[in-house]
Amino acid sequence: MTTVAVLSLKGGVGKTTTTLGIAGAAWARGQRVLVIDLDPQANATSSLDVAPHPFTMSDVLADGRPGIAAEALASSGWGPGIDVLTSEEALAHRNRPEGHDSATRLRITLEGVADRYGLVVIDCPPSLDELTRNALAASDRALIVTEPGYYALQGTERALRAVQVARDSLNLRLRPAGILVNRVRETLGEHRRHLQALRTDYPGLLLGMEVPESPEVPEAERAGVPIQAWPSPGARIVADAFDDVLDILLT
Amino acid sequence: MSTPEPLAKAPDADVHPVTGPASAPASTPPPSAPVAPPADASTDDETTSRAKVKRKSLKRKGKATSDALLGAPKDKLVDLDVRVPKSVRKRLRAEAKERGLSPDAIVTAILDAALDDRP
Repeated sequence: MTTVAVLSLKGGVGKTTTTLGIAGAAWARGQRVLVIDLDPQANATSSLDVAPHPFTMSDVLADGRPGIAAEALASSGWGPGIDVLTSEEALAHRNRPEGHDSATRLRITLEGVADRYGLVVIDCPPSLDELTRNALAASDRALIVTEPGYYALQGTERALRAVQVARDSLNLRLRPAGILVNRVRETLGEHRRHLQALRTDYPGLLLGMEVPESPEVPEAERAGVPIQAWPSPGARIVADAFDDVLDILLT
Repeated sequence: MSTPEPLAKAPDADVHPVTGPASAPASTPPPSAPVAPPADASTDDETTSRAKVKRKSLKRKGKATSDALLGAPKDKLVDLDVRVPKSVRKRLRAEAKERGLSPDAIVTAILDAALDDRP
C-alpha cells in the first residue's frame, strides 16, 4: 500500500487533475484505490461522481478516533474498486491546529483503513495549513504539482520546503516523489523556458514526463469519468503520462 | 476496527467557514506543534527557534536537492553496530544508490517505520 499526497501551494495548477489521473491509472490496472479529498472546494469529490454519503473528511477529522474513517467511505461512480473520503466546504474548519494531535489526525483515523487499498491518493488544498500537514503526516510519498508559469515555480520551492519540514518533524517515512509539470504546451516559448529552469533547479526531482494541456481533461472531469476512459487520442496521451507517474510512485 | 460510538456530523458542519456564525476560536497551537510554517509565511511561529532551525536552505553545497530533502532528521545521531547478512547489505546499498540516499538514511527510515508499526 502506498499513500501519496498531491500538493502545490498555488491553486489551479492541477492538483485535482493529477489526483484523479493517478487514481484512474491505478484503477485501470485493477488496483483498489482510495481517494481522500482534503480540499474544501471538493472538486475531486465532484469529479469522482460519489454516491451521497452523510459523512465527510470534516467529520472524520473532528472525531479523530483510530480507524473512524471507515465509517465515511463512499463509493465512486467510476465503478467498483475506487472509494472516496469526501470533502465539503465545512472542511475549512479543520484547516487550523486543534489539539496536540492536530497534524496527525488523518493518519490516526486511517488506521486499518488505508491498508485495504493498493493506492491511497490525497488531494491537498493549495495551502500549507493543517489539512496539508495532515496529508504529509499520513503519506509515504509527496508529489508536487506545478505548471510552467512564474508563480507556480515559486510555489514549488515552498512546497519542497514544506515536505522537508514535515519529514523532519512529522513523518520520517515521507519521501518526495518528485515534481510533476502539468498543463504543458511545448509550442509556447514561455513554457519551454520555465521547463528549462525547473530542469536546472531540480535535476533530481523533476519527473521525466510532463502532462500536456488538453481540453479532454476538464471534459472528463465534468462528466465524472476517469481520463483513462475518455475516448479520444488527446485523453490517451494524458492517461499515458499519469500511468508513467504511477510507475514512479509505486517503485 | 470496532468503535464504541458511530461517526457523527461535526458540530460546525453547518457553519460556513467565512460567512457563517462565528465558530469557536481556533485553539492555540500547542508548544509541540510539529510543523513549522514555511520561511516566507508570516506567522508568529517564525519567531521560535525551532522554526528557524527548520528553515535551512534546500541547496547545500555539493548535495543534490533530493539529498537535502531526505536528510537526516534533526535528532542526535548515534552509532548502531548491527551484523546483517551480506545479501541484505548488498540490497541496502543498491536501494540507497537508486534513491540517491546514504545507507544510513535508508536504515533509519525503515527502522523508524517498523517501530511505529508495531502492534
